[in-house]
Amino acid sequence: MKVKAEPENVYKPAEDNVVAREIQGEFILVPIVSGIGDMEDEIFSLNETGKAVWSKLDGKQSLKDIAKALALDYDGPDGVIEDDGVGIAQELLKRKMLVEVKRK
Amino acid sequence: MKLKENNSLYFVARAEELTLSATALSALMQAALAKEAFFRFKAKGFSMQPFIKDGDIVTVSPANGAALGRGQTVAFIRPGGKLVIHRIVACLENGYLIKGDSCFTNDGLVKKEDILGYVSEVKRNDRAIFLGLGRERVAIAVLSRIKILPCILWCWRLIPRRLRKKIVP
Repeated sequence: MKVKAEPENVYKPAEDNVVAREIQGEFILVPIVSGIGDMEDEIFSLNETGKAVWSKLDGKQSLKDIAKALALDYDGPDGVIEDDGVGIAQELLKRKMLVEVKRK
Repeated sequence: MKLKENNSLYFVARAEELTLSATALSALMQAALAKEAFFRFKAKGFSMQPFIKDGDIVTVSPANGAALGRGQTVAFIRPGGKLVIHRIVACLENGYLIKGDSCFTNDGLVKKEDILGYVSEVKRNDRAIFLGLGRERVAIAVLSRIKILPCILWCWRLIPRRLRKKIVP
Protein backbone atom coordinates (compact mmCIF):
# COMPACT_ATOMS: atom_id res chain seq x y z
CA MET A 1 0.00 0.00 0.00
CA LYS A 2 1.38 3.36 -1.01
CA VAL A 3 1.37 5.98 1.71
CA LYS A 4 1.31 9.65 0.95
CA ALA A 5 2.07 12.45 3.36
CA GLU A 6 -0.34 15.38 3.19
CA PRO A 7 0.40 18.91 4.49
CA GLU A 8 -2.90 19.04 6.38
CA ASN A 9 -2.25 15.80 8.21
CA VAL A 10 -0.76 15.39 11.68
CA TYR A 11 2.01 12.88 12.26
CA LYS A 12 4.07 11.58 15.14
CA PRO A 13 7.00 9.20 15.48
CA ALA A 14 5.97 5.54 15.58
CA GLU A 15 7.50 4.93 19.01
CA ASP A 16 7.57 1.15 18.67
CA ASN A 17 9.10 1.22 15.22
CA VAL A 18 12.03 3.55 15.63
CA VAL A 19 14.90 4.43 17.93
CA ALA A 20 15.88 8.08 17.62
CA ARG A 21 18.91 9.46 19.43
CA GLU A 22 21.10 12.51 19.09
CA ILE A 23 24.59 11.26 19.78
CA GLN A 24 27.76 13.27 19.47
CA GLY A 25 26.12 15.81 17.19
CA GLU A 26 24.50 13.25 14.92
CA PHE A 27 20.81 12.55 14.94
CA ILE A 28 20.38 8.88 14.26
CA LEU A 29 17.26 6.90 13.42
CA VAL A 30 17.25 3.13 13.67
CA PRO A 31 14.06 1.55 12.31
CA ILE A 32 12.80 -1.43 14.29
CA VAL A 33 11.63 -3.94 11.73
CA SER A 34 10.01 -7.17 12.94
CA GLY A 35 11.22 -6.39 16.45
CA ILE A 36 14.86 -5.95 15.41
CA GLY A 37 16.92 -2.79 15.39
CA ASP A 38 19.39 -3.83 12.72
CA MET A 39 22.54 -1.75 12.43
CA GLU A 40 23.52 -3.71 9.35
CA ASP A 41 20.33 -2.81 7.56
CA GLU A 42 19.00 0.72 7.09
CA ILE A 43 19.90 3.31 9.69
CA PHE A 44 19.76 6.99 9.05
CA SER A 45 21.43 10.16 10.14
CA LEU A 46 19.19 13.18 9.71
CA ASN A 47 20.54 16.37 8.18
CA GLU A 48 19.51 19.84 9.42
CA THR A 49 16.23 19.76 7.51
CA GLY A 50 15.34 16.32 8.77
CA LYS A 51 16.28 17.17 12.34
CA ALA A 52 14.23 20.38 12.34
CA VAL A 53 11.14 18.63 11.01
CA TRP A 54 11.53 15.53 13.23
CA SER A 55 11.75 17.68 16.37
CA LYS A 56 8.36 19.19 15.59
CA LEU A 57 6.52 16.00 14.68
CA ASP A 58 4.70 15.80 17.99
CA GLY A 59 1.31 14.48 16.91
CA LYS A 60 -0.31 17.88 17.51
CA GLN A 61 0.73 20.09 14.62
CA SER A 62 0.01 19.48 10.95
CA LEU A 63 2.88 19.57 8.47
CA LYS A 64 1.54 22.97 7.35
CA ASP A 65 1.75 24.31 10.92
CA ILE A 66 5.24 22.86 11.31
CA ALA A 67 6.33 24.59 8.08
CA LYS A 68 4.97 27.89 9.41
CA ALA A 69 6.82 27.45 12.70
CA LEU A 70 10.06 26.57 10.91
CA ALA A 71 9.71 29.55 8.58
CA LEU A 72 10.18 31.77 11.65
CA ASP A 73 13.54 30.18 12.44
CA TYR A 74 14.89 29.46 8.98
CA ASP A 75 15.28 31.39 5.75
CA GLY A 76 13.07 30.25 2.95
CA PRO A 77 9.55 30.69 1.71
CA ASP A 78 6.71 28.76 3.38
CA GLY A 79 6.07 26.72 0.24
CA VAL A 80 9.59 25.34 0.07
CA ILE A 81 9.68 24.52 3.77
CA GLU A 82 6.29 22.86 3.52
CA ASP A 83 7.53 20.75 0.60
CA ASP A 84 10.52 19.72 2.70
CA GLY A 85 8.24 18.80 5.59
CA VAL A 86 6.04 16.70 3.33
CA GLY A 87 9.15 15.16 1.77
CA ILE A 88 10.61 13.95 5.01
CA ALA A 89 7.23 12.81 6.33
CA GLN A 90 6.84 10.80 3.14
CA GLU A 91 10.24 9.15 3.58
CA LEU A 92 9.54 8.32 7.21
CA LEU A 93 6.04 7.05 6.51
CA LYS A 94 7.40 4.79 3.81
CA ARG A 95 9.71 3.23 6.40
CA LYS A 96 6.96 3.06 9.04
CA MET A 97 8.88 5.36 11.38
CA LEU A 98 5.96 7.81 11.43
CA VAL A 99 2.25 7.37 12.03
CA GLU A 100 -0.64 9.60 11.16
CA VAL A 101 -2.63 10.99 14.06
CA LYS A 102 -6.31 11.18 13.28
CA ARG A 103 -7.82 14.47 14.36
CA LYS A 104 -10.99 14.31 16.44
CA MET B 1 20.47 29.36 8.68
CA LYS B 2 19.05 28.00 5.50
CA LEU B 3 16.83 24.98 5.43
CA LYS B 4 17.62 22.32 2.84
CA GLU B 5 20.93 23.63 1.67
CA ASN B 6 21.42 21.70 -1.52
CA ASN B 7 18.11 20.36 -2.71
CA SER B 8 19.25 17.12 -1.19
CA LEU B 9 18.16 14.28 0.99
CA TYR B 10 16.76 14.49 4.46
CA PHE B 11 19.00 11.61 5.44
CA VAL B 12 22.68 12.28 5.10
CA ALA B 13 23.91 8.77 5.61
CA ARG B 14 22.85 5.17 5.78
CA ALA B 15 24.18 2.18 7.62
CA GLU B 16 27.03 1.45 5.23
CA GLU B 17 28.18 5.07 5.29
CA LEU B 18 27.94 5.65 9.02
CA THR B 19 30.84 5.01 11.32
CA LEU B 20 29.50 4.98 14.84
CA SER B 21 31.61 5.20 17.94
CA ALA B 22 31.30 2.54 20.62
CA THR B 23 29.47 5.09 22.78
CA ALA B 24 26.94 5.78 20.03
CA LEU B 25 26.45 2.08 19.44
CA SER B 26 25.87 1.40 23.12
CA ALA B 27 23.37 4.27 23.37
CA LEU B 28 21.42 2.93 20.40
CA MET B 29 21.53 -0.59 21.78
CA GLN B 30 20.25 0.60 25.15
CA ALA B 31 17.41 2.47 23.45
CA ALA B 32 16.42 -0.48 21.26
CA LEU B 33 16.55 -3.02 24.11
CA ALA B 34 14.51 -0.65 26.29
CA LYS B 35 11.78 -1.01 23.66
CA GLU B 36 12.13 -4.78 24.06
CA ALA B 37 13.48 -5.03 20.53
CA PHE B 38 16.41 -7.17 19.48
CA PHE B 39 19.56 -5.34 18.41
CA ARG B 40 21.80 -6.56 15.59
CA PHE B 41 25.24 -5.15 14.84
CA LYS B 42 28.69 -6.01 13.59
CA ALA B 43 31.05 -7.14 16.33
CA LYS B 44 34.45 -5.53 16.53
CA GLY B 45 37.43 -6.95 18.35
CA PHE B 46 39.07 -10.23 19.17
CA SER B 47 38.31 -10.85 22.84
CA MET B 48 35.62 -13.47 22.14
CA GLN B 49 37.51 -15.43 19.52
CA PRO B 50 36.92 -18.03 18.26
CA PHE B 51 33.24 -18.02 19.21
CA ILE B 52 32.61 -14.46 18.09
CA LYS B 53 35.04 -13.13 15.51
CA ASP B 54 35.72 -9.60 14.35
CA GLY B 55 33.05 -8.77 11.78
CA ASP B 56 30.48 -11.35 12.92
CA ILE B 57 26.90 -10.14 13.04
CA VAL B 58 25.65 -10.43 16.60
CA THR B 59 22.04 -10.24 17.77
CA VAL B 60 21.44 -9.14 21.33
CA SER B 61 18.11 -9.91 22.98
CA PRO B 62 16.73 -7.87 25.87
CA ALA B 63 17.47 -9.41 29.26
CA ASN B 64 14.27 -8.03 30.81
CA GLY B 65 15.59 -8.74 34.27
CA ALA B 66 15.68 -12.48 33.57
CA ALA B 67 18.20 -14.55 35.45
CA LEU B 68 21.16 -15.25 33.24
CA GLY B 69 23.29 -18.32 33.58
CA ARG B 70 26.94 -19.23 33.52
CA GLY B 71 28.25 -19.37 29.98
CA GLN B 72 25.82 -16.90 28.50
CA THR B 73 27.36 -14.15 26.42
CA VAL B 74 26.05 -10.78 27.49
CA ALA B 75 26.25 -7.12 26.54
CA PHE B 76 27.12 -4.53 29.15
CA ILE B 77 28.60 -1.08 29.28
CA ARG B 78 31.93 -0.43 30.94
CA PRO B 79 32.36 2.74 32.97
CA GLY B 80 33.28 5.26 30.29
CA GLY B 81 30.53 4.09 27.97
CA LYS B 82 32.23 1.31 26.03
CA LEU B 83 29.98 -1.50 24.95
CA VAL B 84 31.36 -4.95 25.74
CA ILE B 85 30.16 -8.40 24.66
CA HIS B 86 31.70 -11.01 26.96
CA ARG B 87 30.77 -14.26 28.69
CA ILE B 88 29.46 -14.84 32.21
CA VAL B 89 32.00 -17.15 33.83
CA ALA B 90 30.43 -17.16 37.29
CA CYS B 91 27.15 -16.11 38.86
CA LEU B 92 27.77 -14.58 42.25
CA GLU B 93 25.44 -13.22 44.90
CA ASN B 94 26.00 -9.59 43.98
CA GLY B 95 26.42 -9.89 40.23
CA TYR B 96 28.17 -11.73 37.43
CA LEU B 97 31.84 -12.35 36.87
CA ILE B 98 32.39 -11.65 33.20
CA LYS B 99 35.31 -12.38 30.90
CA GLY B 100 36.26 -12.41 27.24
CA ASP B 101 36.94 -15.97 26.02
CA SER B 102 40.43 -15.19 24.77
CA CYS B 103 41.31 -12.76 27.57
CA PHE B 104 43.53 -13.68 30.49
CA THR B 105 41.89 -11.20 32.87
CA ASN B 106 38.22 -10.83 33.68
CA ASP B 107 36.08 -7.68 33.56
CA GLY B 108 35.31 -7.87 37.25
CA LEU B 109 31.92 -8.04 38.84
CA VAL B 110 29.05 -6.66 36.77
CA LYS B 111 25.74 -6.01 38.49
CA LYS B 112 22.63 -7.68 37.12
CA GLU B 113 21.03 -4.32 36.34
CA ASP B 114 24.02 -3.30 34.25
CA ILE B 115 23.50 -6.15 31.80
CA LEU B 116 21.75 -4.84 28.69
CA GLY B 117 20.98 -8.14 27.06
CA TYR B 118 22.32 -11.49 25.99
CA VAL B 119 23.64 -12.72 22.66
CA SER B 120 21.01 -14.89 21.01
CA GLU B 121 22.51 -15.27 17.56
CA VAL B 122 25.87 -15.01 15.86
CA LYS B 123 26.18 -14.96 12.08
CA ARG B 124 29.35 -15.34 10.06
CA ASN B 125 29.25 -14.98 6.27
CA ASP B 126 25.45 -15.24 6.47
CA ARG B 127 25.61 -18.53 8.35
CA ALA B 128 24.43 -18.95 11.93
CA ILE B 129 27.18 -20.00 14.34
CA PHE B 130 25.88 -22.10 17.18
CA LEU B 131 29.13 -23.05 18.88
CA GLY B 132 29.39 -21.14 22.13
CA LEU B 133 25.68 -20.43 22.51
CA GLY B 134 24.40 -23.93 23.36
CA ARG B 135 24.99 -26.11 26.42
CA GLU B 136 28.72 -26.25 25.71
CA ARG B 137 28.82 -22.64 26.86
CA VAL B 138 29.04 -23.81 30.49
CA ALA B 139 32.21 -25.81 29.75
CA ILE B 140 33.62 -22.83 27.83
CA ALA B 141 32.92 -20.60 30.83
CA VAL B 142 34.68 -23.00 33.20
CA LEU B 143 37.73 -23.32 30.94
CA SER B 144 37.78 -19.58 30.43
CA ARG B 145 37.57 -18.80 34.14
CA ILE B 146 40.47 -21.05 35.04
CA LYS B 147 42.39 -19.55 32.13
CA ILE B 148 42.83 -22.81 30.28
CA LEU B 149 40.86 -21.58 27.28
CA PRO B 150 43.03 -18.53 26.59
CA CYS B 151 46.11 -20.79 26.91
CA ILE B 152 44.65 -23.25 24.38
CA LEU B 153 43.82 -20.37 22.04
CA TRP B 154 47.30 -18.91 22.48
CA CYS B 155 48.88 -22.27 21.58
CA TRP B 156 46.45 -22.64 18.67
CA ARG B 157 47.70 -19.38 17.21
CA LEU B 158 51.26 -20.74 17.22
CA ILE B 159 50.22 -23.36 14.66
CA PRO B 160 50.73 -22.06 11.11
CA ARG B 161 47.51 -20.76 9.60
CA ARG B 162 47.63 -23.24 6.70
CA LEU B 163 47.80 -26.16 9.12
CA ARG B 164 45.05 -24.67 11.29
CA LYS B 165 42.80 -24.50 8.24
CA LYS B 166 43.45 -28.19 7.62
CA ILE B 167 42.47 -29.08 11.18
CA VAL B 168 39.44 -26.76 11.28
CA PRO B 169 38.38 -25.90 7.71
